[in-house]
Amino acid sequence: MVHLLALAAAVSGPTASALVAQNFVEILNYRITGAKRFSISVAFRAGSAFEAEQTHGAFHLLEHILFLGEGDERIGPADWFAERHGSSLSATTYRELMVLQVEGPSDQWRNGVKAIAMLLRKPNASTESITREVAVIREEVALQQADRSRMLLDATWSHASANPSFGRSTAGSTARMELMTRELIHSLYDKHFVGSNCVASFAGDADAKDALAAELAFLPKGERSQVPKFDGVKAGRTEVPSVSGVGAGFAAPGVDEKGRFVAWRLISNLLYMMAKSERMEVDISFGPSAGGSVAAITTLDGDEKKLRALLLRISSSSFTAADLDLAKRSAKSRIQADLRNPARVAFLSSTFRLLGSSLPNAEQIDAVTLDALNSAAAELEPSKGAWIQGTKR
Amino acid sequence: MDTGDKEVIALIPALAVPSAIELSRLENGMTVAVESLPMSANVSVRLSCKVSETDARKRGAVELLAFAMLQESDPLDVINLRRLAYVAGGELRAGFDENLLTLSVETPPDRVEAALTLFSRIVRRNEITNAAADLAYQSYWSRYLREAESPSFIPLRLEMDAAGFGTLTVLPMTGEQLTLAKREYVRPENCVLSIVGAIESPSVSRRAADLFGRFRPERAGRWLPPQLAKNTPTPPLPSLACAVPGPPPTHENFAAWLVAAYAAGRGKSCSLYSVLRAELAMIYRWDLKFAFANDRSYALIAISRTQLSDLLSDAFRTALSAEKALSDERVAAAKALARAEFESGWLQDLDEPSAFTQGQTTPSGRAFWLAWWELNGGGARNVLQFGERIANVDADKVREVWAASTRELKIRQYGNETRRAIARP
Repeated sequence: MVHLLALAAAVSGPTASALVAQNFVEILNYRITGAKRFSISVAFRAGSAFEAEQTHGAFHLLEHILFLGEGDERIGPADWFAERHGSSLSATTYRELMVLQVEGPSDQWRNGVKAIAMLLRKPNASTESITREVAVIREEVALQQADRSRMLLDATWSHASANPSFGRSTAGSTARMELMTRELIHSLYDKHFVGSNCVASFAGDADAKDALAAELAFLPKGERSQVPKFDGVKAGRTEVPSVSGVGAGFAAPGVDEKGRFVAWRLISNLLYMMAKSERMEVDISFGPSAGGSVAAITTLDGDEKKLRALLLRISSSSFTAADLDLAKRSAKSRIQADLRNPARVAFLSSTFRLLGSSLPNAEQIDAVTLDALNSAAAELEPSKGAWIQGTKR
Repeated sequence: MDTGDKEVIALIPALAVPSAIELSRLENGMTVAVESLPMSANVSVRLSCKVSETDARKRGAVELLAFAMLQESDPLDVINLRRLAYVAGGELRAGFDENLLTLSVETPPDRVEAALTLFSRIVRRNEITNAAADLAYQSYWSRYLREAESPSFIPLRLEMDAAGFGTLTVLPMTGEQLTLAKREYVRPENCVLSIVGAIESPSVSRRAADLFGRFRPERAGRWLPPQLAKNTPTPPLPSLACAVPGPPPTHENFAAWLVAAYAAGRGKSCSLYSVLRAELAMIYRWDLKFAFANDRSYALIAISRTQLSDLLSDAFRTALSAEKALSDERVAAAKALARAEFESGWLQDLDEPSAFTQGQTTPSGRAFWLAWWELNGGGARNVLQFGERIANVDADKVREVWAASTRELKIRQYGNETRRAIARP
């Protein structure tokens, strides 16, 4: 077991430390003194971008199968075990990540470590279980499709990158679910649920590194999965029949501290203010993805002209020091709130680490200069975007 | 206390409350609750106003009023108002949820003064203009359509209406009518101002008294409830929903009823998950929401599915029955989960808060609960004591209370119509 140097320089809130376990699981510990809650987030390189075309949705199914209670039979399914200790388990499959999380009251953190380890055991994945969860996923997809703003934002985000593997819905296509087999689920588990693909992050008032290393020791070292390559933005305009509204997606290389998304975080605050003053309701999403940075801006009312005008206004703006200060104040305030919340710290630190970045912090925000802000804004020029025009009624 | 303009405001010490919470009552009847949490980075400022109204159309007006309170006025136009909040470091929110009309913002400590000034100007504003009323309606309708994207939103709203505690969707109101509605409901004697976070309690309490002690609104006079919106959206998926009544938060059986609702519908060890998802694989998710009237509480539960059936309806009823939902093991898990969520919060702490989806980890969660208990009975001390009440609940009492609540349970079906787009009235 190799203990790494403390990551204090990267964090202005909690005190961070890290180790790499013998099976290569990277374990981060963010100690938040006085926190009443703990949270553990375990992230793997996995998700829809790693799926073959014909097995689209398989990782999402694997995520469901993990919850079927094939943990230690003496104490029951992982979620029952967690809830008996006042804690909750959750999981989400993204394009290039699968994240499993537990959170609960501080004095239950050791049971939280046990619960997450129970959840990660290789599932039996019987045909009966698969059939049942496929039925549940059909209902989940129907619910997702009912949410028009989420569908639009998701479609816009996924169209921003030229790499087609990022254009898939993370939930999967219900049409393909019949192709799911136990062998497929096991092969995905064996390949991706390995130490080399895993970052486990604890946040709370404890040092859980050794306990996590011990409980996750059953994961083999395995081989690191290769993240699909960033291919730049897919500028242009596409009509998408499955969504309503209009959206513009942008992508730029770089996910580290110099990545566009840090400056876009500031710009999103200014953009939101501008939209409010124009009486526009917009959804804005930005962050690291596909080996680059992605921003998606959408509006459900479908007025492309208004959205283009808004983006033209922001991309041609010459922001002042006062604008920068305003945006920084707001962004830092939100980051400070995040850094006090164990669930956010654990989630963001594990996922951003796997994506090649670090936990968002105030220093990142402070480092954004006026020039950087203005040049990042210029990237949002409407003609550079991947435009989605929904045609669903 | 001399506030500088010859007005005298007294801080009346409250009865026994935990020493960390400073509770005072201004001469105009408004309560100020301040708690210092030195470890917090930010400060939550929340003005909560209890609305005991039961007329569903008037409750619809209050929902619209929440939006109007954030619209332009003299001397604060809407842009400056939002910018002031933004500089304060947080998003300014207003809303009407359950029975509380609230204004809230989370700010860095050095912006608390700005936030308090802003809130005091909003509540003391004498007039809501027609232009502000129109802008408010635009935001109200937009938010309404957005929330209606959730399959459970319309069914739960209609369930509340059927229970006699609804909030109906209304047509636009004039500035004058909204002004009168504000005078009726936003009154100091109905309000709790809670301030929680990295602050020094005495100085903040004094400043709050300075600013809000001068809030003495005129009486409302007669105003007409607004007309109802005729075109309301249909739920995006067919749903089943019900409202399970329960005792008010001050009642001795309230904690037992709450635990029962958790055992039926919260978490993955609850009976809805066990029956409808794990056994029958018929649904992906369900929604449980709590609402509080003056003399009753409600657990509102909805499930949505691509197709409804008698089998689903029967299974839903079975899952909510005391026999199925309340095994000793399930009650034990529900008690542990409810207590932990109440005492130390959970993931949704960052979202728009509502009771029992709201923890106490963040300043905003804490500020919410201080006001909630003070206005719903039981007093702010319940912030510290309610977890113990949950822990002491007896499983037989849980079964008895829930059996009584579900004896005449009505499950209604919603949303088989074709989904249609709705334009603003």
